[in-house]
Amino acid sequence: MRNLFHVTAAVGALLLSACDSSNIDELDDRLLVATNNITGIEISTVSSVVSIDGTRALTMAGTVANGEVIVTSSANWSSSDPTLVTVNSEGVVTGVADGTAIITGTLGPFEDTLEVRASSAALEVINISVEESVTDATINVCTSAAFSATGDFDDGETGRPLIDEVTWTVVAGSVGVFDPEVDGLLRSNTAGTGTVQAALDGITATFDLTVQDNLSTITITSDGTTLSARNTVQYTATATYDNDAVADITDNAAWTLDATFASVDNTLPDKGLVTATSTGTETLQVDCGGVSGTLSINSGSATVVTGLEFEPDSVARTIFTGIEEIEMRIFARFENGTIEDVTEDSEWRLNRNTGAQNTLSNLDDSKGLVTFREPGEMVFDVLYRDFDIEPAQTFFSESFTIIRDAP
Amino acid sequence: MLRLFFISLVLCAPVAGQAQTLSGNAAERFYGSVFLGWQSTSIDGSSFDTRLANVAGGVWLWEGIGVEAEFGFGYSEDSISGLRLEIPAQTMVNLRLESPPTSGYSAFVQAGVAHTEIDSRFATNTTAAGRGSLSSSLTGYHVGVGLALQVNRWLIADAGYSRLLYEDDSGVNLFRLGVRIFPGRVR
Repeated sequence: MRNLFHVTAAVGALLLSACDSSNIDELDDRLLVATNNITGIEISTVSSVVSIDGTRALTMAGTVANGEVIVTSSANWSSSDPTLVTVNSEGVVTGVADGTAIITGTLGPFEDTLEVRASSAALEVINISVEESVTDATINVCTSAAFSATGDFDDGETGRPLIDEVTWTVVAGSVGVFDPEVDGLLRSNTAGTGTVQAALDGITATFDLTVQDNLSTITITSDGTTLSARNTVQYTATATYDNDAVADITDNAAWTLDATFASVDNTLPDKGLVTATSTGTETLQVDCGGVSGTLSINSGSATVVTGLEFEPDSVARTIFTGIEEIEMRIFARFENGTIEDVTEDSEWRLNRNTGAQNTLSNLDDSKGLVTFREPGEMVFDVLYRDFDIEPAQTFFSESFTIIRDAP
Repeated sequence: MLRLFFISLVLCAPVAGQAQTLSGNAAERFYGSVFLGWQSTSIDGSSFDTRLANVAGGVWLWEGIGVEAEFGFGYSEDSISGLRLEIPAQTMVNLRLESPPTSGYSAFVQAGVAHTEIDSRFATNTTAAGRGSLSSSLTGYHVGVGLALQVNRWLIADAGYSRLLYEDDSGVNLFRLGVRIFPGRVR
């Protein structure tokens, strides 16, 4: 037996030393490239300059047929000189000491590089600008304005993009709020004059913005799908202005729906998304700039059950040859054509059973399980009621027969 | 999947407990085997199929308890979205526990370590073609179960399923058929 122990110990040692792999991450990247049909990669960033101890996110985009896919966290990142600039596995660079390093990102067979400079220069001035489409620092109420910020530094560097580093706030006049997901994007919702501020390292800059009180009407439209229980519909708010301008203000407006059968999302990025849980009719409202728009919405007939269907839809009459289990399932067909498995939501009742040992389960997790332990005829009813629908519908019932003849 | 490994060890325990010293000359303990199989290799959610040829050598330490070493290679390649993949080598070292035959049939379990090498290259009609091939490898555990049929004193037919357990959601499902030959028992 001693040899057995030696062999077992040797195999055990091999088992413990296992789980070592090589180049698998690179193979993963190749699979990512292949399955997404990526034809190239490109590294981008807001600015290729990073402050000492500051961080800046790099983005790697993979080129695909219909655009690009972001593959930043899948890529492998390295710095030519980590004593100047480091980069982590998520593509975030950190300035360590004054100087320039080449950051290389690879994804499978593709590679791209970016020169990143670390700078200890102190920020002296912030410059705010607004997108070119905004003229005379004036926008229509309930529209948005995209701001940018650049910095001038004490080493003579000017125009370094700071849009993702500064803190954006509205410091005077409650004309709107900055989008927490999009740097520098102000979403206006009230007419008036406001002051926008960008701040970094104790340096601030401001920009005065006029939000015109010129909103005439708001119209709500749906994405064309029918609202019903079990589905959602995206609604859009469109503003028409006194100057005949038209704008989509879905993301700037406030959405309300005072209903028990459905709710509307009033948070970005899903503003205007209505989810219904049952049937009903109510008024969907949107408010912005002191103007309201309304739309009567109906969640209805698509939830009506039109019938029940068994699966299997028939069980052949055969000779009893031994204990047999049959897993029956019941499906509800709705008026809009959709079908849902309601086996566990239904009540399974024996109607006729000539075999005393034969059973039909109505227990949770095994509903519809038919067990034949002797020859006999079993007729059972399945009752289903859709509790999602208000007012409640009557029960739906369907019968099924299984026969096992004596040998 | 580690559960399968531990279940296999538990199943092996009764056999090991009944281990008997082999009688006869030492040459009868050694065997060689040849297998043909099909395996599906999954890596990070993607999988590809390979037909595999396999040779192995083993020795019975006691009746029903043996150790064996295997070497296999894929003789077909597959592709995932234009990435050609093949298995140039797959090696295993196993502990084999086999039940006493009943009507000529035995059940066996295997447990050990496994190493799979994978070569990949992009197909010529893809944008990444010509970017070179890449050799990768996985090392982990192997558990297997199967049935053996004693054809005669020196020949056993085997049918088995093996699961190779690797890190990062990677693994291999291997189905194979083959024969074991005990040259020392051939008269």
